[in-house]
Amino acid sequence: MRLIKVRLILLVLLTAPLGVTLLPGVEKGTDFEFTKVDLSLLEQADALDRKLEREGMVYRDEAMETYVNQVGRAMLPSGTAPERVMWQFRVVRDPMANAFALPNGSIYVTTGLISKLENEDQLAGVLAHEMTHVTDRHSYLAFRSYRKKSTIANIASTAASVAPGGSAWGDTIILAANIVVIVANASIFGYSRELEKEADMYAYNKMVEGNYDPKELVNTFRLLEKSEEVNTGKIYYNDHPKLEDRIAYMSTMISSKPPILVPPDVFAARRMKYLSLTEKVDREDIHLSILSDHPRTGLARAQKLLEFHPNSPEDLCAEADAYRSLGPWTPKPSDAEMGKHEAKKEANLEMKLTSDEEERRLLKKDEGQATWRDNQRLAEETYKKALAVDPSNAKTYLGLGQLYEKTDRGKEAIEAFEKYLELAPNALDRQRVQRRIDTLKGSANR
Amino acid sequence: MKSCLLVLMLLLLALGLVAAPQSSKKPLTKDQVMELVKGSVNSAEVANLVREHGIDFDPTEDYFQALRSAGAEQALIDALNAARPVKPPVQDPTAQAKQHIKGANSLLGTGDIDGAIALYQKAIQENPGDGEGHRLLGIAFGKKKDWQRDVSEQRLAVLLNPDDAAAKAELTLALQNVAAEQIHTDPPRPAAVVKPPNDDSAEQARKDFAQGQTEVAQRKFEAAAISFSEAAQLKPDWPDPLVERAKVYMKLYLFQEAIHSYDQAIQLKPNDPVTLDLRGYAYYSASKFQQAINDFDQAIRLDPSRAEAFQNRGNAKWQLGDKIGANADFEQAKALESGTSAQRKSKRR
Amino acid sequence: MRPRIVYLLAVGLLLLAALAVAGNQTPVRPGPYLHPKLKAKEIKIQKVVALPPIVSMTKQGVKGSEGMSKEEDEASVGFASRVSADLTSSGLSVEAPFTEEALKGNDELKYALADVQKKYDELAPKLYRKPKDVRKARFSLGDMVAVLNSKGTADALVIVRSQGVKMTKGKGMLTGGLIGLATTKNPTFTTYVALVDAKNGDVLYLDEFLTSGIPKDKVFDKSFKKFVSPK
Repeated sequence: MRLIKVRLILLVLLTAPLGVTLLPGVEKGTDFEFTKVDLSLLEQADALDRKLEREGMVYRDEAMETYVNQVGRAMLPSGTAPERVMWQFRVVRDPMANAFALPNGSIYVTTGLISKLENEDQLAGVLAHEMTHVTDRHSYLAFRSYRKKSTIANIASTAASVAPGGSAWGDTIILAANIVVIVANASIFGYSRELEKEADMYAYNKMVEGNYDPKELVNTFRLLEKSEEVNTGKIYYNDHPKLEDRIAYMSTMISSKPPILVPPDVFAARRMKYLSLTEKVDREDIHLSILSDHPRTGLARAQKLLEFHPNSPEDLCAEADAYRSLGPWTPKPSDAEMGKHEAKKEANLEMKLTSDEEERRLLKKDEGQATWRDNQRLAEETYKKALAVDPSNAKTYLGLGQLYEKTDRGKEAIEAFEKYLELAPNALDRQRVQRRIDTLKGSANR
Repeated sequence: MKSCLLVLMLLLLALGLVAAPQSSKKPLTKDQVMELVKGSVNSAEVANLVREHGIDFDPTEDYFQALRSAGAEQALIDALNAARPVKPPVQDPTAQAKQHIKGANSLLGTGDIDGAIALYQKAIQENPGDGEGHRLLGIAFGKKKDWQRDVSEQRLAVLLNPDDAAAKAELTLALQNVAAEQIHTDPPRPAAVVKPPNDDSAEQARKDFAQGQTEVAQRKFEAAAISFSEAAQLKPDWPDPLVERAKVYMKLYLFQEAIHSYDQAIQLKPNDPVTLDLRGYAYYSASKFQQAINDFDQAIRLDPSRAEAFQNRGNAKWQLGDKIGANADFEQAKALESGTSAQRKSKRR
Repeated sequence: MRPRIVYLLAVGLLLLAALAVAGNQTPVRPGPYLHPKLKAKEIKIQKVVALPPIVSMTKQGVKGSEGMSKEEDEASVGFASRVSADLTSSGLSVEAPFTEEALKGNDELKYALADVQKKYDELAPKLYRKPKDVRKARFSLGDMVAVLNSKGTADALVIVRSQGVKMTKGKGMLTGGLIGLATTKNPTFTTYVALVDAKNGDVLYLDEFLTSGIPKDKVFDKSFKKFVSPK
């Protein structure tokens, strides 16, 4: 008897923390009451804003910032900001197409998404969707639910586990999820079916009110489904609505309502404005795509830019950079690569091998070598096209120099690098380029 | 006489002898070469003639094929190739213009906009048909915020290059900037003499105001701002257009302009809690939290029953780190809101 | 029966005491891993540029995890100064030019720094998966890192990553009972320190260690001094 008593006491002592008081069921955001837990989440959101800014992840461009804010503010609900919300619309440097809203009113859109979208109507739809998560306090509700479920694995690690190397979520979301665990949910792919539907409905209404074409919201989902890469990883959780479902219910809803007719000239003007204002962001995104070893995405973006602005030397240079970075990979994945088995194999290899090792593996095959040669040839042609339009574009010479270096044309590489330094004497990477020149000259002397 | 005639004849003969070899040195034509080959003259001999006389045409691959079919040998083909008349280098008429554009781009990159404009204009003089030159000149004017000239140049660019989507986009942007510029410039107000508003101008002001409201509904915010500005100009003692214009500026992310518009409205109607609240929100959006709080304080003093003012003030205090003050304001806002909802519910009953 | 329980409790308390004493002492480390050229002293490290450490901290509670932003900022500063002090005491010249002030208004440099940090983070899963491969000269960030070596005089860049986990008392009790409770005093940091060639981006040195709290002791292994060549 005594032993049972002691064991009971020990059991109580050791398991006391498990006496979790269950949170009362919370209704959706209209009469939202902040709790201590919500305030701590808000604090983390503010900290994340500062961290993203500090670590150079926010894309700073006055014209782009003004434009995104204009489009965003036009979609805001009427009246003043909700409690503890300050609306801010920002672009974040990440090639993964995504958008997320923090509970403090900061709405982020990645450069990947901006460059993927085709017109202002789509951007308006995304922003309208995201702001519902703020006004209806979805982050707080999701965080409370998450805590209630007492899951051991936090969402960041879950995100990391379903996206090898973090590639599917994008580094911003992974970084953010470490700070504000709900952020992975807060992304455009994120919340539960009900909450996402709510946000989509709001977006639809706001788009109609704003004379935007609501069909473009459906087109946005279609664009998000597409990928230029093989391994996008599984980016959905079990209870999150897949994009196909969202396309289906939005299409059904749109067809059940009276059609919204946006005059073609108005739509075209908005599209032109969007493409023009986002051109610089797109080029930054191409650079980021290449940096994160996604040159196929970079190439697709560059080709989209050139459709709009065929004789732009900067855009031609960006396309050439993408071709050069492709190496032995084809511009688009083959059907075989897209097959489930191959994709899984590719994902495993991506986890194990560095990008140089992967490249060397492909170059061992004849097809790889042939593709490599084609890509370098296309890159060279495109660089030369860029120079024909603007012979003073420094970046083109840099790219050309790197190409010649890669294809063992040392003398031409030296000339191109020297020309780059002549045109951009204060470039941040002048030391790096000078070192390359010295190395090439050294090899030539030997 | 006879001797003169003889000399003349000799001279003529000499001329003829001199001229003849020269006339026989005329370059061979296409047809002459073909005739010779078809006439079964040896290819080597024709080749010698080609080398001696040259040719006055640029033989094409088709011509060579025809010659080969007629029996010509490679020696003749080689001779014809070697004898191709050398064309003078074609002067690129746009080379100078391209140089100017290159120079202008560099200057623009270093911030010398005036220098760039001068060079773009030179380039256009050299190559007036170049739409790209006009487009770049327009952009340079845009950098100086000379939107009207930006528009003119972009129009020319589009005319010259109708398929260039970038030029069309620049034109669209330039037009919007012109509209926005009209927003930024307050309508000039007569300083000394204030014309008493007459019925016509008041009526027109009302019409402009209504038009502005329609434009807001259509989300044509720039146009709406202009309509409200016109209404305000016609009826200077009427604060409503100024308030509506400020709201439109808020939509356009033009917080300073919104604040300025609210300032003008408040001058006309100093103790209006709604306008003070709205200006406070403009300050809040522009991250000027203390000024926002000052406005909310005043709005609350004038009308303590407005939940929005408390909520806004709470938000501004929150941003300044006054969490206790913010919480108190949020509580008050909720209490007022629930009181208002209770009132509405009882009215419905 | 009683003496047995008392005996168990006594053992438990002793363990607790030992852990409390051991807390925040010498880090546990499986490394370091050295590039063959560094080991063979073909590469000399005399001057380094320290990149801002990236520290993330989470509080693990019974109700899940939360961020710890304020503590994170403090920890980043703590790590930065610890690393600088350690390197300086090894005789190296240390530059830490990427302060908030320096980056303010210089978007180009801010982006360049972000890009290099990002490049490292992309390589990190492979690097941490097989750290021994540093000895095979397998890993490199590429010469893009040279943009951060603006004067061209640095030999290496120092990159620090640390993940701190602080368990709440409830969580500690749940996972480890009374012993678990003892580990909740300080957050446990898993830290990776890498040195990367400032010219070509090769990973020259990688070390990994666990500490309770921010390391108060040496960050770099005592063998590190052998591989640097102070002036």
